[in-house]
Amino acid sequence: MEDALIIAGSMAAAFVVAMIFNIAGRKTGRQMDRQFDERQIIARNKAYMTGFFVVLLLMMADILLKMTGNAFYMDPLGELSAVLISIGVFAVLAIWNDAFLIPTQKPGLLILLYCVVTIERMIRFLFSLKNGECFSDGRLTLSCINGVAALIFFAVFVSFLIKQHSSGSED
Amino acid sequence: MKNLKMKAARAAKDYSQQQLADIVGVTRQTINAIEKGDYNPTIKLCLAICKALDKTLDELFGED
Repeated sequence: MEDALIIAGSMAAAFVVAMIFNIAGRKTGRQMDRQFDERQIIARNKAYMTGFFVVLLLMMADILLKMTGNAFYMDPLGELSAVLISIGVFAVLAIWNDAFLIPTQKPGLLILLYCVVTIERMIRFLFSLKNGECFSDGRLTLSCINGVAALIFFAVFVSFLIKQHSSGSED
Repeated sequence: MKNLKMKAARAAKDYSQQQLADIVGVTRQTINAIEKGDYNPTIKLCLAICKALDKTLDELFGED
């Protein structure tokens, strides 16, 4: 219960911060369509749509597993994993289509950031695994979310690296 | 279909893809996608590219 409250609080705080940035951006005229170019906006929209369908499918699978009593995880691991995976799908698709960064943004620092976060999440997950916090009553607990997050960040990190390597020179 | 006319006009101006992208305010990948025929730009971007390369719409994007 405490974990769920912390997560809900964090998500609400992140939402408020995002809204403040959005409103501040509008006031100063820094809108998204002025940052990303037109091809990037189309690519991002497709990535958003794919991410949305992924989260819908995963939520449906979560409901089906719970209804049939085959859920191998505890609440809210399923829902949070679905959200994280869909964000990961969006990020990877956007990176793959060169639509993750605005034209003036350099990816060097972001790649390092994703690498650090991947390692940090993986260490947390391994500690949880070692301490036996990942399983309870034969089911996966919320502590496994660090493993899911590590995988997502790793996928984003690898996508960045591959794109950096493949699009380094002009055709 | 590849846009060789745009590529030739860019080369004639001695611009790299990155330089042209910076002038028109898009990413280098977008210029690359237009030249390769993978992306159809809007008329707004077409006009910006024409202006940067001192060409008309017909010269760069007109059919042969």
